[in-house]
Amino acid sequence: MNKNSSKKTPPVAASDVGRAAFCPHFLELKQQGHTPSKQAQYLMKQGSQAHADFNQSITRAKSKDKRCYIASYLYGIDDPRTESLRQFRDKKLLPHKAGRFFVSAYYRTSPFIITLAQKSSMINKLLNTAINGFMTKIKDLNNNKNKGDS
Amino acid sequence: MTFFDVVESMALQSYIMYIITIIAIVIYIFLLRGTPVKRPRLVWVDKSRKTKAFRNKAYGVSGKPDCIYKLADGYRLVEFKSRKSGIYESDRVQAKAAALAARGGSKYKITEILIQTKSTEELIPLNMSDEQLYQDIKYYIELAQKAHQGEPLKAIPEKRKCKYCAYVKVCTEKAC
Repeated sequence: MNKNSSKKTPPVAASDVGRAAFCPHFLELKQQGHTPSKQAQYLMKQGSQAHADFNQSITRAKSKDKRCYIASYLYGIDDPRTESLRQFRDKKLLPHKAGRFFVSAYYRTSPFIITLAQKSSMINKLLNTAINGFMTKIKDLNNNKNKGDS
Repeated sequence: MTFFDVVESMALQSYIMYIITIIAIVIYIFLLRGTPVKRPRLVWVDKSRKTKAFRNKAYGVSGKPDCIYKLADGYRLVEFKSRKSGIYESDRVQAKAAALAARGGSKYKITEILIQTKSTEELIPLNMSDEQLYQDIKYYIELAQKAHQGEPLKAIPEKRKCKYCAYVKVCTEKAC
């Protein structure tokens, strides 16, 4: 290990270590201060943009929890009704301890309930009625809130 | 038996059924289902140019991966390449250097590397110590250090490489 020598020299960037594997002479030319070709500059710009897009997409995916099994099963993953249930979860349930417990219990049981609903049309019907009723309640709540706001 | 007795017994029955259902649900949640499988969780992401790079002072390497995920038994470093073509040795070396930097400069003890391009991906397990990882890429780290010190370095001319090299116009050792 070069612990002692590395203390004297500044750390090398991982990208430069990769470039050393690509072509060591590249690093020498870079160190000498040569300007990269216009095509390379264009490609670097595109690469930076692609990286930014990639990082943004994973950050966005992290901030948005798309789980909502039963509603996704009944309505579809991107249905507005599923989205309103997700909003209800994030705004009304998750801020409270009891709500978080409920959500956690829901995530654990819902795959099992969906399996049951797939096997039994009666349970499917019951589930549909229950979730539709719940949706109506949420809609009423939202409408009342909107009226209150206006 | 009066009407009220019947009603009372029915209420009691439904109450008992209610209790049994609750107990069954609790048993199902906490005992039968066990602990759910943990999905990889994003713990670090390179948000912008201003994001600070990891620095491993012991091995003299710094690096900024694209993101790090927490796994059930370690951390996964992700290195994204915007090109459509495959993964090259230089990508593996760069990712390993970034892993070494993250291991020494943060709490993230990287246990695997995922390199992604637009068309393919490769998972590299890192079941090795920092020292072994360093030895694996030592040659390239030393080359990069030599370049920083202004030492002349030999080219590895290949048509494929030279075609996309940023310094092909000023290079005297190019393949084409």
